[in-house]
Amino acid sequence: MDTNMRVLIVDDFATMRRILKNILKQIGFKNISEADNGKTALKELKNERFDLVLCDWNMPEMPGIELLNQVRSDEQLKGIPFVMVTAEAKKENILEAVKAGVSSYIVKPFTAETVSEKLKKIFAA
Amino acid sequence: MNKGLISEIENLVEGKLSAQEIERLLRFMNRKSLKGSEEEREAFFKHLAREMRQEMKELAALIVEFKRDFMSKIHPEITELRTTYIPQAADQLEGIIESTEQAANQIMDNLELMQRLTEDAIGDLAGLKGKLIERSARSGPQESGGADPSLTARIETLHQSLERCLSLIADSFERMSFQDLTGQRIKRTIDLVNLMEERIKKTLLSFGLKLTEKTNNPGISGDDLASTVEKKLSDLSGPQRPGEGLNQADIDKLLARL
Repeated sequence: MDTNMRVLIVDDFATMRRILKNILKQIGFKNISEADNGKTALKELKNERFDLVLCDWNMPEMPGIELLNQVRSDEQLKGIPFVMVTAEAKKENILEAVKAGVSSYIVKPFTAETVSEKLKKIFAA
Repeated sequence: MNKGLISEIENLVEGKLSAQEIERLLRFMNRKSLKGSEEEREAFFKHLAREMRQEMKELAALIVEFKRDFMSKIHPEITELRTTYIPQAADQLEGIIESTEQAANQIMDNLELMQRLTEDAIGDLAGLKGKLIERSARSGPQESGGADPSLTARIETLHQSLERCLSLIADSFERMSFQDLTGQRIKRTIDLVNLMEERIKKTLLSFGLKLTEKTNNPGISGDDLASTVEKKLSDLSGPQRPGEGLNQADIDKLLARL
């Protein structure tokens, strides 16, 4: 897994963005950006190149599932690995995300090991 | 009196009643069957109207009493619920999110500093251990000034302890996610509280508009009243350009009038 890749964390809670950032740094990632909702994230994704998106589900402005749909329907962005990091653990949510083309699904609260394992699987594939 | 009827009764009672008694009996029957004289019928209907007026008065008094009771007791509490308690509850819940977020950030600042200091200490310790090993290799066995094996063992133990500290710091960092999870639940509760506030406001506005409309136009029918109030409510909730419709102060004034 190339730790030089650019990662975008999308979550409306600053605490969660900070936790994820810390975990990614522990794994070795250096280029980490943040957005506090789907709308801002979409702008960032269109302005800069990112190699991975870690995104919350429930957010104001644009929820994570809508961002995922937008990313997957955009020719330029559709190939970016997209991981949903959320407290929504209902079967229908997971199915909806899978149907929309999510790369992986991490349920909050999570550990650094879980994040590391999921990312390794994505980039090994 | 009806002579034919009197003679029929006389035959029936076979002289057991006097003519006077038969006459009284006939009057009584007339009264009861409402087939008496014009005066008797008029008296009966007057009596009926009096009774009805009395009933209506009592009913009106009951309505006035109910309205007074609602205005003086129930309504101020509901208004206060809408204007004070519910907004306060939402503010309190938002305050919880803010204070836990502040505390979580402070804790994470501390954890990040501890993480950095521990990583530096591990680095320094590794450098120290390397130098000891290098000195040992240059100087030969311990007797001739080489590294003390017990010292390198202690350095190793210290290194392990610091690694354990790092792992505990990382674990504490992960557990800070409680702030996000509780925050999300509190946000949902705030949404519910705001929804309740909105519903109560709508109910109060509807009630106030109905009272005002009925006062201004006493003859309005129930259906017309409902449709007029519905339209006014829709005007109130619809998008308004600056200067149009009611502002918050107008709405509060209307609520206060109730």
